[in-house]
Amino acid sequence: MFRFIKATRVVLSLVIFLLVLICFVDVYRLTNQWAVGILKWQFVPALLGVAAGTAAILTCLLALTLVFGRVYCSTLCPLGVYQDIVRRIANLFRSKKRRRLKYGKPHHLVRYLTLGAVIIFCILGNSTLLLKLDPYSNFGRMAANLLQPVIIWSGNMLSDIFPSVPYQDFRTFTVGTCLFAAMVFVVITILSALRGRLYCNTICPVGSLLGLFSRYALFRFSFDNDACTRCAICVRKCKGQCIDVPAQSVDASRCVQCYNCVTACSSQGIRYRFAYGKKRTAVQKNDIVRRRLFIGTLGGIAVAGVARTFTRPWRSSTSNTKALTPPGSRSLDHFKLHCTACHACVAGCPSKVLRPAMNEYGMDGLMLPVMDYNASFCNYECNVCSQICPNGAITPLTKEEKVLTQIGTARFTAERCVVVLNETDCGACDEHCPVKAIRMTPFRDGLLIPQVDTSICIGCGGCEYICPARPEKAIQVTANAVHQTAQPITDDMQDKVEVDDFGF
Amino acid sequence: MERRNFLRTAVLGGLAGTLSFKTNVLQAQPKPAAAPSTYDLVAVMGGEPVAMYAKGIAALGGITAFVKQGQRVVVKPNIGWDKEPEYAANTNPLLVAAIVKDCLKAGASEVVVFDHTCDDWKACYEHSGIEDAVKAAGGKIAFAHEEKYYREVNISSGKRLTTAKVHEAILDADVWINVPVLKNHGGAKMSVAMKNNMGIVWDRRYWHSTDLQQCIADCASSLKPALNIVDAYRIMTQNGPKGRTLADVQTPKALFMSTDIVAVDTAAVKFFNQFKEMPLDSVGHITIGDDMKIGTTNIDALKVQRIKI
Repeated sequence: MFRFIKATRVVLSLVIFLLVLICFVDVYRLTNQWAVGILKWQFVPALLGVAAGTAAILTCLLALTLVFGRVYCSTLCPLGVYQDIVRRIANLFRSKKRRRLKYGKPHHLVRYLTLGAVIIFCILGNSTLLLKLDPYSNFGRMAANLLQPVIIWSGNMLSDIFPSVPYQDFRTFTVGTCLFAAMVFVVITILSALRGRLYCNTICPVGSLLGLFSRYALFRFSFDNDACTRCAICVRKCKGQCIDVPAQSVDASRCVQCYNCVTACSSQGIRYRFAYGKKRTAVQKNDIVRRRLFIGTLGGIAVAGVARTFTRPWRSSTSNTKALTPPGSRSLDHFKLHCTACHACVAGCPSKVLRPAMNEYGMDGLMLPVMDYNASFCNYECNVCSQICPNGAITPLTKEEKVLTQIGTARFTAERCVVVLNETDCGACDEHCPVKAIRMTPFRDGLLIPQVDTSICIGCGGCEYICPARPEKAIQVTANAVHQTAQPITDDMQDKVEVDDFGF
Repeated sequence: MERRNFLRTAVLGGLAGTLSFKTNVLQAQPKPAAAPSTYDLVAVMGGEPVAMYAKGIAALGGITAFVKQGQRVVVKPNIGWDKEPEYAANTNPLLVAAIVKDCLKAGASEVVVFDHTCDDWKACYEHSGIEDAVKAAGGKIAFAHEEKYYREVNISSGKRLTTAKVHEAILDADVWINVPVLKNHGGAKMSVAMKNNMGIVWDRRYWHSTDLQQCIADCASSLKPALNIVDAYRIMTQNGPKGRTLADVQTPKALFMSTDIVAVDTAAVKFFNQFKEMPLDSVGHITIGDDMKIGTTNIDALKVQRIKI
């Protein structure tokens, strides 16, 4: 019975892990984003996306935790599954004895202070702390910034042999983000190889939050005092390091529902059973610490909540009008609160115009996706990022909405324009404008220079991208801090001409 | 075909293919085959794309006048924009497919189609209808979205454009057929055959910043397609080259063909003039083309075949 549950958990977790992974490494656009629905089942995206319609999913996830415990952590969380995989691989290189885990004391102070700080930051209107700790976003960044370049690099090797494999460049990668992802990758890999799910039970804000719920789960692990032989084989297999045999207790807040203990136990000394209304083990010293921390954190959150109602969102001031947020993200404020920089949009952007920000948004916007018009521009009818984003940071746009979403407007500086400087034709900006917000108007000697109608410009950046003026481009898009709706384009009516002659 | 003949052809063809070495010296490229037909320029009107192509190419002596058995052919349409065929921003896929089929029928060893697109390349290839049409016709689609697909060549006859990174398919091909669509153009004034060759190079910004009209002519002075086929089934008369709505499009159902790139552009612009005023001397690259003796704008002196369907 327990073997079957564990097998189901393993299979399901691997399937979900692969589906999530596909969303980040589909560099050849083979899947057409069909798997992105799975991202909405990640906890932080579901939480932040409530306004964008993920309330039902969030309720499901919480209900799941209240019934079965932290199955989210064992099955749905890609970073959790990644750690299991690492541990499994690490064990191949260990003697049986070295594979054993021991009971670990809970680190309540770190857990709840971290969780509290994350929540307080979010209440103050800023996801910057959350995005650095959220397991899903960290996994996304690892896949998008570490694995994806490896895949592209291998693909490029192949493309030399097989011309049907398209060559790709690395322009969406930024060194800072790759380094951060690499750092997380190294830390998580080492921690999980040595200590199982230590990250999940110490730092992970999702693990800590779900732990508060899983303590009251309907189904919990508990000892059968008489059947238990105190052999402690369950302890050795416990990834959460949360089984205390001498005390005959399982710390439900740290248990990640891997079902290793019950499958390992040959005497049915530890069981997974319906525990509603059952008395929990006697209150321990640890629980008192937790209770105090919990109350303290709640107090902090309350203070932050009150503070937030009287102040503006707390974030680094940035007056950088070059930092454009993707269409659908509504405003810089909305974006900074909802985006956790998982980089699913960066990985999925067909035009490769999105890349992780360095300091464009300020210090609290590190790694958030930003439109880079030096690298590319936003394809007129493309709404892929808005369909991918699981957080509701880039809210879904239909194509009709997308083509009217004005994320900024183009500004033309005649003194830098090659037509003015060289007195030769150019018109590259006009060529790329999908709405003809740019019109070529007479300059002199039959030359034409651009004129911008900002009412229909949507800020796609086609003009800025292609502008050949250097060192500074003659046409540049200035960000709208709050996205606007552009005027719809109209037909330039002309009579349909019928000709019967070639004209020469 | 007898088996013996087939084997002989196959072996000789294979040998020829293996032994023939390629060079990047453009002047050494095979000169555009002199058409055995007596016409310098063919203009067709009033039919569907495939029918007009058939009539036009027949008047030039058939595709075999340009494509020989076993040759590698490039068909270079305009696939610059993420637009459906109805918007006339890209070459008509039916025409492209008809040319591909014809080349294969003439014994071409392969027919490669590509364009250095302006919009997202995948979207352009797909939404233009050209990728599907070419594949269905038996041709190959080549990638052109990264610099690695281009090789640097000298353009010794160029005044402003003296070197350019040109797509490898063009450099490796025996024959290259240029298949533009007739469009108005905000920068170059008109986009026809000469302008279409901007899609074979990697760095277009250099052209824009360094006398666009001269660069277009410079490229045409050195890199010469064997045949130019201008698609004017649908033409974009305003807001070009990308266009905005279907109101920018007229449907005159015409087609122009010539080995002379300047002549075919001249003919196309004169035709265009019936829809929108566009004096020939305002289109800098065409007049420069005449000055540089790349071809002639004096099409009255040419033998022109006019076909109405």
